[in-house]
Amino acid sequence: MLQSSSSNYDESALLSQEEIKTLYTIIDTLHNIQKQLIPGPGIRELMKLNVSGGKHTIDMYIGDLGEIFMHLEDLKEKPLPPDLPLSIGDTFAKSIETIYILIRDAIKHLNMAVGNAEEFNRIQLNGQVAEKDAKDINTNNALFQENVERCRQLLKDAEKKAVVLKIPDTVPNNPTEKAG
Amino acid sequence: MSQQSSSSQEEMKPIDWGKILHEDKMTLDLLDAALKPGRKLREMDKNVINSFIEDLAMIDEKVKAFDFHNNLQLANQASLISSNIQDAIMEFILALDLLDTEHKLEPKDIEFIRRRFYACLGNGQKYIQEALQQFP
Repeated sequence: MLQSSSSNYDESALLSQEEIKTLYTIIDTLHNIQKQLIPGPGIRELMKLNVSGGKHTIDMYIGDLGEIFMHLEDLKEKPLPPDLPLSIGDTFAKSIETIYILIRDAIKHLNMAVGNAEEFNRIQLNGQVAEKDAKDINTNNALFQENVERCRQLLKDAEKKAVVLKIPDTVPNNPTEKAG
Repeated sequence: MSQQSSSSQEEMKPIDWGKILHEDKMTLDLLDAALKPGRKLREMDKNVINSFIEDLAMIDEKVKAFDFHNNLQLANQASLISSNIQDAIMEFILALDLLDTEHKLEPKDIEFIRRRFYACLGNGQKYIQEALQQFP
C-alpha cells in the first residue's frame, strides 16, 4: 500500500536522517557562498588577494565546496534500495550527478578567478610599465568578475537542485525502509 | 589430479591479481585524490604532472607484463586498465602542452587555455577512476 503509486515517493526518501541533516548543511553552505559572491564591493575586496585576505577567503570557499564534492562522490557510489521504482532511483542519481558537476565547475571557476586576480595584482605591484599592462589589468579584472559570477550562478543552480532533494514535512520517510 | 590442482590454481588467480596490483591500485587512488577539484589543482605544475605520467606509465607496463594464464576475465580487466591509463596519460600530456602554450598569450586566451587545462586534468582523473573500477 505504501508503494501504491510512485507519487508517494520523494527523492529525499532515499536519504537517512543523518544524510538529510548533512543535506541541510550543504544547502546552507551553497547559499552562504553564493551570497558572498554577489557583485558589489565585496568582490572588489576579494580581488585584492593578499591585501585584504581575498586568497584566503576564496580558498576557504574552495575548501568548503571540495568537502561537498567529496560527500556527493560518496553518495553517488552508495547503492540504492533494490526494490525502489526505477524512475525514483534514476531521478535521485541524476540530481546528485548534476549537483556534483555544478560544484566541480564552480570550483574550477574560483580557481580561474584566483589566477586572474594574481595576474591583476602582479601587474599592479610592479607598476604599470606599458600600455599593454593597462589592457591586461582591465582584462584580468573583467575575467575575474566573470569567473566569480559564473561560479555564483553554478552554486545557485546547485542549491536549487539540492533543495529539491530536501525532505518536505508532508512526505513520509523512506517507504522502502518501512516496507522492509 | 593434476587437473584438479590446475583448476584450484585458476580459482586463486583473482586473489593473486589483487595482491600483485595492490600497490598500483594505491598509486592510482593517490593520483585520483590529488586530482579532486580544489586549490591543489591551481598549483599543478609541469613537475607534478610529469610524475603522474611516469607513475601511470609504470603501472601500464606492469599490467601488460602480467601473465594471466588464459584467464580471459582477468585479461579483459587488465586490458581495460591499460587502455584507461593510456587515455589518462594522453590527457596529462595535453595538459603539459597547454601549460607550455599559455606563457606567450594574452589574458583572454590564457583564460581559454586554463579552462582546457582543468578539463584535461578532470578527464585524466575520470580515466584513472575508470581504471580503478576494474580492480577486484
